[in-house]
Amino acid sequence: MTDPRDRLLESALEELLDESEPVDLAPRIRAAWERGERGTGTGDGPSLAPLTGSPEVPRPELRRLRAWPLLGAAAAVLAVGAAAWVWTRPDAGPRLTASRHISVLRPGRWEADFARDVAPGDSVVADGTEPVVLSLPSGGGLTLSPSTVLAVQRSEAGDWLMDLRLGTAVLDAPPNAGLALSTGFARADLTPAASVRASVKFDFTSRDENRGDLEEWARERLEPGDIPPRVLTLDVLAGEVELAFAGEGEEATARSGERRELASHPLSEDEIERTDQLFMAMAEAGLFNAKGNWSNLPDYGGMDYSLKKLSEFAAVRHQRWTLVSKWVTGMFERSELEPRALSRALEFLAYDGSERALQQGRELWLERPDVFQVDHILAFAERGAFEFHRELTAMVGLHQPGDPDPPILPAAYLGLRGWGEGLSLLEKALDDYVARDAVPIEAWPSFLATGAALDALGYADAWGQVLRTLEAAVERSLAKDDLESARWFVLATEGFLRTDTGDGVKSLSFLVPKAIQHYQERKGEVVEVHQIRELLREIGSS
Amino acid sequence: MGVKAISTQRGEAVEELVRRYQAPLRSFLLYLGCAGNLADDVVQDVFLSVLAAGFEDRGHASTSAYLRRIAKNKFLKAMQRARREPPMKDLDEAEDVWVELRSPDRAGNRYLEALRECLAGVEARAREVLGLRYTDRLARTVIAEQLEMSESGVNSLLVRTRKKLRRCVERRLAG
Repeated sequence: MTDPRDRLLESALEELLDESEPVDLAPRIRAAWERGERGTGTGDGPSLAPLTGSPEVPRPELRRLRAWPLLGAAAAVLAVGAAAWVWTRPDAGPRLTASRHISVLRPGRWEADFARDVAPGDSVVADGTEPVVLSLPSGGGLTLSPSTVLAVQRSEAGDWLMDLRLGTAVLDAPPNAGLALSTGFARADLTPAASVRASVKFDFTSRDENRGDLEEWARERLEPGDIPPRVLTLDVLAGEVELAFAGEGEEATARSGERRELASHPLSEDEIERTDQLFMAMAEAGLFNAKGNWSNLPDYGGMDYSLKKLSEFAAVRHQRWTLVSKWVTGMFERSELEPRALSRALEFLAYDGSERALQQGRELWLERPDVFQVDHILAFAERGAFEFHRELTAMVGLHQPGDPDPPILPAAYLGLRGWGEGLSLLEKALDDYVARDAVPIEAWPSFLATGAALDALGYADAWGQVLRTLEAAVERSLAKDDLESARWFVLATEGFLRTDTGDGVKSLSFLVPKAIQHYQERKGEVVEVHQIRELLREIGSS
Repeated sequence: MGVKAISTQRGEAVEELVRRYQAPLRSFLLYLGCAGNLADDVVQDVFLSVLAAGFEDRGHASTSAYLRRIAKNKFLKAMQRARREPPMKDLDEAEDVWVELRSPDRAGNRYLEALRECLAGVEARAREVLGLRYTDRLARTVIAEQLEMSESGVNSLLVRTRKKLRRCVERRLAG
């Protein structure tokens, strides 16, 4: 046993040499007090108080162990857009006038304006459910369908160029001037007084080829790594249009009554880059938190994609964190926003590894615990935020046998750290898993977590059961010539074994997406049956 | 001694109370061997529990002792739940040592000041190891790798340095 005076020196060294900011628990404790938490007693009171609710102040029940709605959008590109970064906007000059107020993203501004005047360099989102007309100063104009996103540009020569990123617009060129439409991959120059209907959509069907069940399942849960091509459908209503198609370097003339369909496929690096920049431009302009915009934006699961992009940008370019933080805070401050939006903002914070993201997550927890899901709570707890650790403990402590959705991951989280509160729950879960004919693919990561937690709690055969179940699952799949599933089982297991919270404990946050990601990254290296069996052996002997 | 009741227990009063006592309470828990995450949790639990029980501020020393006692019990319970042994067997004795040398009501910050002065006299190599261990919080194996030392070399250097520091601090406090 340690001599108290040695221990005193050790703890004083820890305190003196620790350069991190001291934690001020006052706001957190105040919030907990005001929320109705009353501690576990000063004496021999109950060992665990309900932390997610209180008799005095009812709080919304946490949604527990939901599927992965956030990382999950398969067709996941929000592609609204505005190439505002391309052109600089002159301070003065001709402007377009909208028939009603719409969201206008001005370059260099945090928030989108709700305005009627649109200058070159601005991007607009046609909010609401009715079309909006943008009138050009020299006559003519555009009619935008709801949810259409378009950037307005003007060349030095005074020609108007409309960059249609998504949605539908009818363009009427002025009688004495030209008007051009751009989509990034195609350009259409209208002759004076010409009229066209242009529609830009994503072609999700092009991404669905040659995918087996597992691949499809994974794709549904994984953020998109690729961007589906966009398709421009152009109907010439009057006059002529000169078409230039970047994809194949084609040029053509389309006349009144003709229809052309052009796709941005294969995608160029430029197209991908433009889409990436789009999200940053949108975040920078505050589009996501502009009042009313969220619910009107086309829902292509795009917030998921934008969060991923924002995360990547923030990771690489730290100065971007300011805008991300502002964006998330803005969303949070607008209490009228639906919980889904906040929850997606949280996804970003939980995914981001920075200290600032952690702090912001903690602040959000004080105000809106109802939007947190188990995966968020796990992620913050694994990064050392005690209030989330408390929440996981409470989830396990409050669980009653027979309750639906047993908190397996919270119990596994505690078990991996040597806490036995969820022991019976884990034991039952492992028995249930093993008793099944086969553990389903989607339950495999939780199964691994259960086995690892019991192993950490001293159950000698728990991990052995996992390995035997793994071997059986692989062999069963191979017997059916289902290499894909066999590959999934070994790679998901390998991926799980490689996760680490930084202190030698297996990480349980984002378990399914991480397993999928590992599978996607490694599946090309584990192709043949002998490679699968070899990896199986390595896992067994590790 | 006047009794100052926090009858309203408004938010401001809660924050004020926490700010007054949280730092030594957290230090005490860390000294007992409580991990940082758990220490924060216990501190929160202590304050919520005493507020719920109708807290009365009976002066700094009495309140500190009261909070320490509750914190110590909660830490013990947490260890029992985790089926772990606290690093120090006799927590009452441990508390006595703490009160004698680190309590703000007794020694104040003299212990830390003495340690700071003693650290200035530590040789460069040992100071480097202390920095990697306590500032960067690196594992001994990683420190050994970084400094191209053996792990046992790092261990013995740490042990020797801490012994010297303890003697130095106790000499200064006695003087």
